[in-house]
Amino acid sequence: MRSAFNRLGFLCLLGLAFQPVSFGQSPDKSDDLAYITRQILELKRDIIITQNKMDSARFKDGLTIYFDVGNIRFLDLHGFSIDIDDENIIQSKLSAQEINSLAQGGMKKIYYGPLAPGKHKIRALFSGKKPLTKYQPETFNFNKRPGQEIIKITFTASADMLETRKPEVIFSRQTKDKE
Amino acid sequence: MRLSNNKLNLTALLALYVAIYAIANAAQADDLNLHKTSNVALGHAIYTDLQGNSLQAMSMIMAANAKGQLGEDTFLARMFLADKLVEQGLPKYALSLYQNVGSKAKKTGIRDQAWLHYAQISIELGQHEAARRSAAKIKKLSKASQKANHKLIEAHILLAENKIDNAVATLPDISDDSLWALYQRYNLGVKLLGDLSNKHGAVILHELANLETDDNPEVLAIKDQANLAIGFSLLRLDKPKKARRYLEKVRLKGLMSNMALLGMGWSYSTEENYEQALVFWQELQRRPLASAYNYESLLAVPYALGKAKAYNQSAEYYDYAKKYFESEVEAIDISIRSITQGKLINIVNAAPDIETGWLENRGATPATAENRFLPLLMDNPVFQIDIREYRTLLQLNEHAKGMADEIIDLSHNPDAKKSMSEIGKLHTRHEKINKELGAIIRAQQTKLIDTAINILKRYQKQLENYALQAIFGKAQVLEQASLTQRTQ
Repeated sequence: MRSAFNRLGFLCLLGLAFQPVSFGQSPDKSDDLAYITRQILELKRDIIITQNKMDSARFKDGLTIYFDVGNIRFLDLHGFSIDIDDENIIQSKLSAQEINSLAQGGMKKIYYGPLAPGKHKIRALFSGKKPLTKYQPETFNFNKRPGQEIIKITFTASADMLETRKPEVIFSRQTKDKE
Repeated sequence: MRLSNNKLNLTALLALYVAIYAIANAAQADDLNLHKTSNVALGHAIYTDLQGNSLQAMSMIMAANAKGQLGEDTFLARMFLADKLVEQGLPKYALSLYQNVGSKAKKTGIRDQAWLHYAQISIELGQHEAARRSAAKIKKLSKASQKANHKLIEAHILLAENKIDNAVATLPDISDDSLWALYQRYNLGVKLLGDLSNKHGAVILHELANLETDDNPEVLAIKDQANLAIGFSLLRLDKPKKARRYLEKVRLKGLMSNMALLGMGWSYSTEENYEQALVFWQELQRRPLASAYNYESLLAVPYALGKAKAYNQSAEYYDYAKKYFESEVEAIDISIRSITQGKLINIVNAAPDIETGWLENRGATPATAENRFLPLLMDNPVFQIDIREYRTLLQLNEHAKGMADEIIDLSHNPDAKKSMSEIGKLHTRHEKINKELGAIIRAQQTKLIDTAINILKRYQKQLENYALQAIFGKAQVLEQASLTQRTQ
């Protein structure tokens, strides 16, 4: 015969065994928390808008460079160096976490600064971790429009993976901001 | 010795909690094909989010959306934002965004995804009618995992309408299940078996319990949970041998192992095989205390010893258990005093800027009164919600501090003169938010302390009751011993 404590304990544990589970989200927040989160998000949004506006006003003719990666599963990537018109503007190492974020669709903003309209060239050189990894620098010549311009540099592998695992650097000019 | 064990237990407990969030992010990103975006505003926000700054990423999307910078990816970005709102615990705000994408996006694929997510969230919120309306708008889903989610939604709707057979018939092949679908399948099985005592529940849970999986920690946790649920259900039906087949599959190092050990002991005890029951209960005894299952085992062991006619040992064990329960009652008193003085808040306040994994990464903490019963508290779903909300508030506070610096930076900008009125308004809004946030944090601290104290007081009463039961158990055993002596 079971004693009373065991029956009680057993029922209590049954309750725990039958607890429903929730996936990937926190429960609906209390009203206060939801309210303040929204306030903070909206204020942060407006700070970003003001910052962008002031940046645009500061550099009437500006250039922003973003960097992303394509399929780099077989490539050794550790850092990059970017020159504009033979002047080095950035030299950077990438952490494993950064490379992972880029591989999942993220784009890193690597430069923002003034650049007058007219002919310019951007040179990108990528480097690997292994001493034997050598990549060729790639150059992009372009005619900068007046106002703000965005250029994205993509480091990827050539599509035909069966032949060679050849690295490829793609420069793309983005549609001008509406701002 | 106990400190390190307790910490291990706590770390293991939180590991699952954090894993849920991490995997949810990955699953959603994959579902939305975010890696295909060519829009730099969205790409930069994705990068920022993956670097661990979700709030910043969300605000970036909101800003880009307001300035019309998202181009062709506007609706994809809104989906991303909506998913982030869900993760932040704001599903109601997310619903309006999903609705926006579902009704306004040009591409059918993203519209269907939006209605699917809307229906998924509605199911999570228990709003079956809204889920039904949303699911009805889906035209075509391409991925097997999306189709599985859709079927699980239909099954939940049918179950809410009490159409049990139809609900079960709607379930997709388990091999197509996404993680979300596996969770929902588990919930469905538990509801059928637990609330409705329906045999289909056992079939569903059996399938989950035998799921073939790699080392995915979440899937392994679902398997453990399914094995436990079905095992305990069989124990309730007085089928100890069958129950063992499931209970023994629960991983010994998993979060559910304490409960499984207790259940294994129970299965043998039901068969009056007390020696074997003791093997499992004593194993449980060797584990760190301060968990509901360990407390149970302190009474279960002398109970089994008594049944095995080891009366003297049983009586001694009851004495030990009684003293232990009494000392725990006193320890809880000290812990409550310490928590009342705000010391629990000091622990929870550690590393306010870390969005996830803060407890795992908090390092060794001394075995102080305020954290002595933290594992017990963390077992409680109400406390888990309260602590998560409080941690979210701390992160918001960090963001608010960061925004103050950003506003100051704006005012130092060489071109600030033209925007002084705008900057002034931002500053005023920031001050208002700071005041409101401070008040909400203080209220949440009080709530957290009250919740912790209430939980500990309930345990205290339970332990007092256990101490009485130990006295009663010892008396029974001694009576039994004396009866046995007389009959000999």
